[in-house]
Amino acid sequence: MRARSLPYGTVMKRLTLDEVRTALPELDELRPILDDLLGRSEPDRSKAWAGSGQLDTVGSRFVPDISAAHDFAALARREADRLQAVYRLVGRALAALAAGDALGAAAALLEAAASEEAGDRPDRALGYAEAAFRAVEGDRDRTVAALALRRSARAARTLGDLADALRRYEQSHDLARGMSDTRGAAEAAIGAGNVLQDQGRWDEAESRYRTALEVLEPLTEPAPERWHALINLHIVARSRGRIEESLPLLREAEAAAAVIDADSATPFIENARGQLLMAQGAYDRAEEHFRTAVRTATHSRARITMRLNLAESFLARGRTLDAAEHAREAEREAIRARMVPTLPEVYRLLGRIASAEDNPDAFVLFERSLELVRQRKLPILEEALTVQAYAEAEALRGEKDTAEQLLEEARERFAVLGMTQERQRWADVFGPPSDNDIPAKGMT
Amino acid sequence: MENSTATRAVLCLQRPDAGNTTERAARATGLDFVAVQGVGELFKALDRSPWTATVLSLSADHVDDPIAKRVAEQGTAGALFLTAPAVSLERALMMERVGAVGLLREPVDEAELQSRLAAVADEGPEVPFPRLDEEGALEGAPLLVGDSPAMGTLFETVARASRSTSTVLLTGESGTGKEVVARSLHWASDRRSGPFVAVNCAAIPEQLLESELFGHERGAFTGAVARRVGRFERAHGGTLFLDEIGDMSLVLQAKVLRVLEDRVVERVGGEKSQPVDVRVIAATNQALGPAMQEGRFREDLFYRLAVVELNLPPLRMRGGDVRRLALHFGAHFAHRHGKPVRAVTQRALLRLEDAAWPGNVRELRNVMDRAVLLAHGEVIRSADLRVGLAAPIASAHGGGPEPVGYAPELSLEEVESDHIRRALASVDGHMAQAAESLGIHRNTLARKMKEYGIDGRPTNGGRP
Repeated sequence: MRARSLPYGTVMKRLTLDEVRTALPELDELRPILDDLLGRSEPDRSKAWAGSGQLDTVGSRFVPDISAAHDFAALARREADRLQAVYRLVGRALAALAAGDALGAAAALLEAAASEEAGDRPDRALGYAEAAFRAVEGDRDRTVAALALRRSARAARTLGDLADALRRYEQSHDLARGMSDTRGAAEAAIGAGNVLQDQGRWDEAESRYRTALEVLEPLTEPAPERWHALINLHIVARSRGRIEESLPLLREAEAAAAVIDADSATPFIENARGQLLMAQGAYDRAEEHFRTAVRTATHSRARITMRLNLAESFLARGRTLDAAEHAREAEREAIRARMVPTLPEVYRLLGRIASAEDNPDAFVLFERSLELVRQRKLPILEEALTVQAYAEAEALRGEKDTAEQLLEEARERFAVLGMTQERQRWADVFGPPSDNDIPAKGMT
Repeated sequence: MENSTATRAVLCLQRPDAGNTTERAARATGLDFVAVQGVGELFKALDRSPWTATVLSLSADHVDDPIAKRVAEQGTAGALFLTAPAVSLERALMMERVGAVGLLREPVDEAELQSRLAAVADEGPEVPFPRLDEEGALEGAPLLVGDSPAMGTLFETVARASRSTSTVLLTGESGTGKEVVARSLHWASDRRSGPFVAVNCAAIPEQLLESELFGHERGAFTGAVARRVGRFERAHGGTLFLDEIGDMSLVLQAKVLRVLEDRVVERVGGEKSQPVDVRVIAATNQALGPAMQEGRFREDLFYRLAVVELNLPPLRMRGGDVRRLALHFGAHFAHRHGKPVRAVTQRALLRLEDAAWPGNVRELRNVMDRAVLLAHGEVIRSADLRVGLAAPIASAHGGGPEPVGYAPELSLEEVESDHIRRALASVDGHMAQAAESLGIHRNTLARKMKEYGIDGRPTNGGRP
């Protein structure tokens, strides 16, 4: 069927992202179009100073003029290029397999996994990493099998399947250690520690980080895993309220990072310093460290999270205007970098800010956060955190029944993840649960 | 009302070896200069009269820090400058704590000090904030600040409208204070003891708005796990404020109209009608006339809502109210943030009065909130004002710097063409300059522009 040409003089309506979403089926292959439209979208200027502006989300943004500016064919070509690259890797893997080169096959499949992971498709990344593991299952050298397990563990963690991720990391650790792959074993131990930390199993997480340090002990050359393990140990100590003990660990992490690549570690060290000061109630000083973290971070995802921490430092002081400004700045970067998975966290924080300002409609932001989690099939942890923040906001509003009901829903989600009450107790002391300790979240 | 700083002079406590840079800078600015030798003499001078500025030379070892604090607490030092042999984060934090306006490293750069003293001297007299309890508000009443003719008319209409139970339609640009007026109407009416319930019709997606307004029964739809009382019912006996009603869908407009006519609500998924006694005040920042002509807003609902219509003037039409509002917000935020800020300079007020205020009172409020936080010491100066820079509150408008780098999904071609567009935009389309900044030959730039379909005229510089 040929496209109908528009009659002369047709006035094109400006579509909002919500209208586009409603008009299209929820298909995975349309995601690049939606992401691209999001990245090129513009805010509704009429809302700039309207009362509803505080509750504004990406849904009200206008997509670019479809008829004039948007090239769907170019978008399709880009997707085809991406798919072609992955297919090429699949072809390479099969050819290697046919030639009896299991390691070559695994390498190609792991490259495909990395490509899918970079494209925010952890489910596909998991599939390729699993295939890579199977390819080398019979190989005597278990190093690549251990690596494949770590990559599949990382994907499983992103997907929110924490139990599965932990199992894979543990298995990877054992295999790598058996092969004397020191750094691989350390990376797996840190990965396992991070999953345990997600679950609030602090003591077990701590033991995994210590294992990583033990494994690295005989290594003479510098390795980034050392400062990763140290900073995670610091986070555990700090999160358990052992502030005094956590300080030297942070200094050690900084020193270990300085030996290798101080620049790339700076934002994470500064972020950790900021979090530490937040836990001590020194919000002014925390702000300085978060600012440095934001300034020195090179990746959008890290910068978004650090900026949200900066916003938190303002919210903690009741400076809601500054908090909202930084949260909106994080939203802006998430949009431009098409980092949709970070938006639920942005809206969760904006919801808390609106709630702190007694806005009776703050729930809109939590609802948007949940909608994005569901649309993008993001981990259940993201959903649990939003539902908990939503419950707290409803409680502040005096909506006791709704708050209790939401809290129960949050508890159920945390339970699914195997999280203990410990994490929630920590939240009671140091504020709402935070997944903003970046090294713990995505360093392996 | 206005306090002028009595002595146009700089008071300086400096170490004997500090030279006479401060004196030269002060005199070059047209200010008198008084140097004191010891702390006792310093406080005697501060007791005598207020100063335009005070410069304290601190030792490297922080033993003088308490003196700076005492000087700041004295309240007569004017703009407080600290100088020290070295600057550090600790010193900067101390400067913040005591409210000093500047921390300069010794030996002090004379030109810098001179320009900073000139800025201070040029600020004009200080205008103190009103005391919050002396602003004439009746107890518990929402405060409508302003005495311009436009506001006088508004006050009269509010007073008249508050005595009736008619629906009211508030119109006006965003940020003009429609909710404050709605609260005032509620407070001044017989319904004062009843609830005031506000809902923003533009903020809530349609599928949620219906259940927010009318409530829902358990099981009415997926997710309706418990019964929810809607805002009409919550406002029973009081006032319901429907903000930004111009954005409401036609379907919901019909349902609201029915409630206004029948005075009953039916929860979503419910069968029983619930009587409600609610006064509705609606507001919009849109022109509803064209909306009705285009069929986006129901005419019958408009006439039902606009029994009394009140138009709120934009801030730019309110003359001297900018000053009154600025002082009011200054006092409000100083109290809220626990800052010792007590006044604003004449020059700062003039800057506020000259601004365009597209965001109206809401924008002015934000500017003053920030100014109180940014102010060093007790006085807001013109440099503390972020006029025109206050970030709008809605989704990701401009404001901060551009994020560094391009999205990783972009192709190299897209990045290159975009970067060329930006380079051209930054030099108003001048090809030779753009080629130079890009580090390529002019012919190469011309070829690439042709390749990417860039016409070379000045653009807005950003990606599409």
